[in-house]
Amino acid sequence: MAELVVENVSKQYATRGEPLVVLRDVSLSLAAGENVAILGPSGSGKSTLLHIIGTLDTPTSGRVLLDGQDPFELDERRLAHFRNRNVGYVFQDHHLLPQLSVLENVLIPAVAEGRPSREVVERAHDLLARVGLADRLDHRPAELSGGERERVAVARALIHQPGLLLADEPTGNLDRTSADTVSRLLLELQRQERAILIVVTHSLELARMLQRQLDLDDGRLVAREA
Amino acid sequence: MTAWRFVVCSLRYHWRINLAVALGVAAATAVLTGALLVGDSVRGSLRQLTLERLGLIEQVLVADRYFRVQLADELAASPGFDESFAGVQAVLLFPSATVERMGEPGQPATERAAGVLVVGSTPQFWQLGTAEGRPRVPPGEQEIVLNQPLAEELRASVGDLVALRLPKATEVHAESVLGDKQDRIRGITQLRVIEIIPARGLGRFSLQPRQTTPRNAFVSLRTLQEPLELDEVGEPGDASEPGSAGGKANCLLVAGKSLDGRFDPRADQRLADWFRPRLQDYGFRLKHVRQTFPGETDQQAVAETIFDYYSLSTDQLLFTPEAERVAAAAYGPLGGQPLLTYLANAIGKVPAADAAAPPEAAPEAPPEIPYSMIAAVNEATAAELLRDEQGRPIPLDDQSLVLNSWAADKLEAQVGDTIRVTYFEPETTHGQYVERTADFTLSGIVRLTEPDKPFSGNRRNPRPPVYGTTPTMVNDPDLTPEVDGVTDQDSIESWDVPFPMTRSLRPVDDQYWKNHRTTPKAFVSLARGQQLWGTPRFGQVTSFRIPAAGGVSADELADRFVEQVRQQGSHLGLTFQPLKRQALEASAGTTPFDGLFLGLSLFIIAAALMLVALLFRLGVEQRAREVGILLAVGLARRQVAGLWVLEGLLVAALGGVLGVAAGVGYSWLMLAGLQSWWVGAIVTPFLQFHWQPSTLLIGYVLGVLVSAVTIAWTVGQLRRVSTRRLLGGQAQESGGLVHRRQPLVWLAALGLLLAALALGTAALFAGGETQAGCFVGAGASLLTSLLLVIWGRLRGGSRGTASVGGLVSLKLAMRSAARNPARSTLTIGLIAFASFLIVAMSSFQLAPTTSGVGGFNLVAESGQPVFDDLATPAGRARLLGNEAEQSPDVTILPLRLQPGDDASCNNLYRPSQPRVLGVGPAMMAYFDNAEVPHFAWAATDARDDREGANPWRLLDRPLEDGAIPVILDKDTAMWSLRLYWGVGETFQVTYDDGTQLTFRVVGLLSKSVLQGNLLIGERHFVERFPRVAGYRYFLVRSPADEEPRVVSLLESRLRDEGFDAMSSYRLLESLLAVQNTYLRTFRSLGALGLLLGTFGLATVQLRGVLERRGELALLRTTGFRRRRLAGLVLLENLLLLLGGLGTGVLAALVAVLPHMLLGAASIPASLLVELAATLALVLVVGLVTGMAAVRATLRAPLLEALRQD
Repeated sequence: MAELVVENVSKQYATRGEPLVVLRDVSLSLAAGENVAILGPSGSGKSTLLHIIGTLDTPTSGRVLLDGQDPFELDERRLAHFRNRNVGYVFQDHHLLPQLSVLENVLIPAVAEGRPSREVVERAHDLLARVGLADRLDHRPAELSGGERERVAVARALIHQPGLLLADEPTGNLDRTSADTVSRLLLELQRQERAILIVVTHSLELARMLQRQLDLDDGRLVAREA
Repeated sequence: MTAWRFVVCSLRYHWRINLAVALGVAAATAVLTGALLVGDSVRGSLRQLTLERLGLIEQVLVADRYFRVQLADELAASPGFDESFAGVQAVLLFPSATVERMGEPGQPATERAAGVLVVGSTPQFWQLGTAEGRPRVPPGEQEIVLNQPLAEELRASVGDLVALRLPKATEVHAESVLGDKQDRIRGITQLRVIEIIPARGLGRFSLQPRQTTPRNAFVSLRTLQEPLELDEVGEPGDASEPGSAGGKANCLLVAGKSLDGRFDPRADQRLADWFRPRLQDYGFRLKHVRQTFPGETDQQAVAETIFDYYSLSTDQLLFTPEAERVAAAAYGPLGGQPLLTYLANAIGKVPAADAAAPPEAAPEAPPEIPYSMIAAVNEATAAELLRDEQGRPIPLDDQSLVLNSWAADKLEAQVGDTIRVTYFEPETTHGQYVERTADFTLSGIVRLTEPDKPFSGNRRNPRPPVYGTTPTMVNDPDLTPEVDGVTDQDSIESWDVPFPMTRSLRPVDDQYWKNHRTTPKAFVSLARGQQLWGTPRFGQVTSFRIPAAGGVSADELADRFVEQVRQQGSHLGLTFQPLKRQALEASAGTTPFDGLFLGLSLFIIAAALMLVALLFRLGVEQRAREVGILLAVGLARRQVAGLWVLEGLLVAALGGVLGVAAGVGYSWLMLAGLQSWWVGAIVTPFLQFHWQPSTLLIGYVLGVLVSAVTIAWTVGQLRRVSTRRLLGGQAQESGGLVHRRQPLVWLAALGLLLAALALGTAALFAGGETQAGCFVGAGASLLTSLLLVIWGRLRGGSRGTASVGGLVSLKLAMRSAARNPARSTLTIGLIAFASFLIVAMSSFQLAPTTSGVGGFNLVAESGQPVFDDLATPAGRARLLGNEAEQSPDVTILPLRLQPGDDASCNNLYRPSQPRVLGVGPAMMAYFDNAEVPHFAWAATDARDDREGANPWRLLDRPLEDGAIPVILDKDTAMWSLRLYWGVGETFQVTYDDGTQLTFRVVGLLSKSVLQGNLLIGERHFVERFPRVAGYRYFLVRSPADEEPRVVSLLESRLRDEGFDAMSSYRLLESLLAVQNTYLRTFRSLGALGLLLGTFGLATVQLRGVLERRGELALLRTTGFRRRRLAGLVLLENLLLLLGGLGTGVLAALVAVLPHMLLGAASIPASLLVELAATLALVLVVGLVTGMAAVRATLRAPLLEALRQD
């Protein structure tokens, strides 16, 4: 079972004047099956924190441990493999590849290992069935609605059964109905897969569906007041 | 889902941008392939020309003497000959004859062409070539066929009468004492032109590999043989077969079986085995000399044999060292002995009182015998011939002389007297005879028997004298070889000799001639004789005396000689050359046109690759999110890069196919350019399209490879971009929020500026190409410095505010350009670099200079040698008559000429035996004068001031290893002979007779009219090319207003020699035209590359617009109209264009102007206009292509753009 530990992570950017501090000593710990929503105003550093946890960005200080392993100690190749196996991303803009079909988009993480195995392909079919797109396998992203595209992105994020599922405004571009559908689906699948889920969102509705809600305020992570 | 599937899907989905990239790759591949195809075409065309001009002719033998025509039949009759060859033809070939179109009867010739190839052949000659250029009817007697270029030069048409001026069949060297210097040209007149054939097939037959069309005249063999006295072979037994051509020829043409240049590899050896010339073909005569007493015609039962031997002599009078070796080896074992007989102008007795004094100090000329033969004999011959009355051998050492009794009697000489021999030096220079004397001690007198009846009969059939008493061993006129005009005359007064016979002849002298003809009157030792009258150049033996012991026959002896020639691997001037094979090898060319056009097309290739990079980058940027996704889902960067590179490779592979096809078109365009606009680079339009499959493959692979490397590099640039930014659609890092100050950049700019100043200053003190290099270096340093400044300013400019002041649009445009300083600087830099090179290179346009022609306004050549000395007033008076006095200010320097391949830039064939000029002492002395204009030198091996002041003196420098010092034009050294290291470099040339000469470069002329020749000292020249006589190349300096008169005088008075003068400036201009045309080609193709580069600029603009679509949309929301926004983008484009062109031109001017002011470079006004037009065109096309970015701006959807931002 996966366990995520974020210890005193800080992130700052150089400017002409004083350095711009985005995150200050952020710490967080989550066990398998747990989920958390991170809220905060624009520019508060939510996405930055998510990208650091998902190893797309590096902290200025502090560390991130997933199952006791610090991914930032890995070289580029191993880090990519680590991300491929342990982290699943769901983005606000879904980020599907327009030239590939729905099924191929879900299978794209498997390309890192060469040709996808039969099991992986079966799992892709299964996931797409679970998100309600079993009959849209050969469609292109352009032929899907926004909600459907987001569901494809959820299926893709789970293809390798990652221990850590990260969602960056997963419902940000969706209407209320689609947002609700995607949110429930995301949580349902997280529970089924026993993954850790971190959702960065402005949506209080979505945040309330998660076990915990944290606010990022002036670079610090604090529990949201009820 | 696999990587391959991903790539294929991406290819299909992003087909538009991929197509654009593929077109870029196609452009690069097309230029690469096209350039290679130009090389193929030049080589192929040269090869085609070779095959065309030689037809079936594969091997050729060109002799410097005449041999039996029947030799061809004998060769063709060799068993197995038909298997390798199609036939063999004997022809008379004159490569440098003069042809004149005759005017009305009684009027002089109206038109004249020198250096014409004249072929005298049987009709079968035409079967050796293709049907093209074959006359409808071969010329008969007194008929002539001209090829088109010759007819045009002579303005001749069918029915006109023309005359040929050809060298006479004279074998004795013109610069030897008995060599005729005046009457060496034979005119053949009243030849009617029966047809003018095109310069195709054998109509352009030539021995020299040149792409220019030769001027040829064709006549029948008989038409030439009779007037040249070559219609008889001289031996009754050699009469030709009925129906076949007889007489003599000087060339054999051996035909192969194929027209396409395929050879029987055994052909050379087999031909050498089959080729069996006879003794007479080598120019030797073997005469059985026998004297009996009583004579063989007398009806006596028993006759005593006085002497009985064979005399081997040569048509050339003297045996060449090679022939002497052969004869010695062949006849030495039989007791054959060499002999040197020379003509003494006088033999006299020195009175005892004068003997001690030097010859010059003699107060009065003593009694003497005029014009006598003296034989130089070796010890063995002396022992046989020279015996006293008692039969004892007379001692003969190097200081002694033996007289025959007639001479001793006439001189009243006694043993012990001093005998003075007066003679001409064996070698004459400029036709001048120098008389010398040598004193000997009379060591003995041999008895000469006077005949009862003198010589009788006619010249052709002389009857020997009849003796009443026993003749002696020295009663032998055959000790002197036959010399036409001397030994065949009835009296000394009838001698036809080239030198003035100033001594009085007495009746007794004539009586001696009648009784004894050429019987030597005196004998000296061979060693002394050779010291006085032999020369390494002409030889030291006039005959071999071979005892006729054991009944050996003349045929056996002749065979023995021929066999020895073969055994020694010698050929005595009769050797076949694999002409076609050599010519095909030469057709590989001197200039690697593929490499040249690759270089000339460099800008286009660079522009196309830049376009590939920019377009691919554009595609990558448009798909930055895709990259980000793949990285985010766990693909390693290398894997992602691999996917993009694979996709790029496939695009490149497809573009390459398109490019190869387009390359054919590009090469066609280049060939069309070379045939017309740039014809100066190849001298004459002769090119046809040729291609090799391997070339297309190489072009394809190269094009795809360089494109793939470019694409891989572009993909590699993404390494620096974080996944986060990629996911955000950004393909480049922002570089942080700060542009840090970079003092190093400013320091570097300053350093480069200082370097530019330093180089500019150094250039003022340098000379020649170093100076040009310094100026260009200064310009390049300034260019780089300016670009650094621009980069720094662009980076700094982003901090200011754009809204202040009146020129808001300009400032906004500048701000936009400053958004990405590196990209904008790169864009400016590329345009600047290209315009810099185009402008700077134009200053290398060459014009003829006084130093290029060495101050000589005329260069002349003659078809036949001129022997008298045009450098001296006396020689000029002899040759030009009284009119010579009217031109005292004219300087004429004659040079010797060994014909060979033209090694100038005008000849595209690779020279194997370059033409050699012999620089005489007159020319060396002329340049000792510092006041006269000198040739410009690129480099010399001068080691002291004297050599430095006159590097021609280096030609006299002895080199320890025997190499011949040579001076070359630098371009000849570099491009034709590939002597890249210049002065000090050694190279070898192998001549047709197998002789290999080693030359060492001691000086390089710069851009001179002497380009294409090897210039060596006359001393070396006569030693290495002993058969070449006289002078055929002339440098003439005359006052400008006298030039037409001087040309007219020289050409009319030396008409027989085919003297042809032309302006040296015009000649130099034609030589420089090659380089000037390359520069022009470079400019044209550079401009084309620059134009292609503007497409790249448009791509950069498009990228800029795409990147800041949101920003532009925002401006529109604030009230900016679409047209204003379009104007902003266009203005930005204009700024970049002008920045590039301005920077480049400024730097180029810095490089060029001082160079021009110093007079070392010049740009004609027409070229300035051309350059300005080129740059203006680039500006206009750049703006037009920039409209693509403008269109994108106008079309950008406002809301979507805002949302994306």
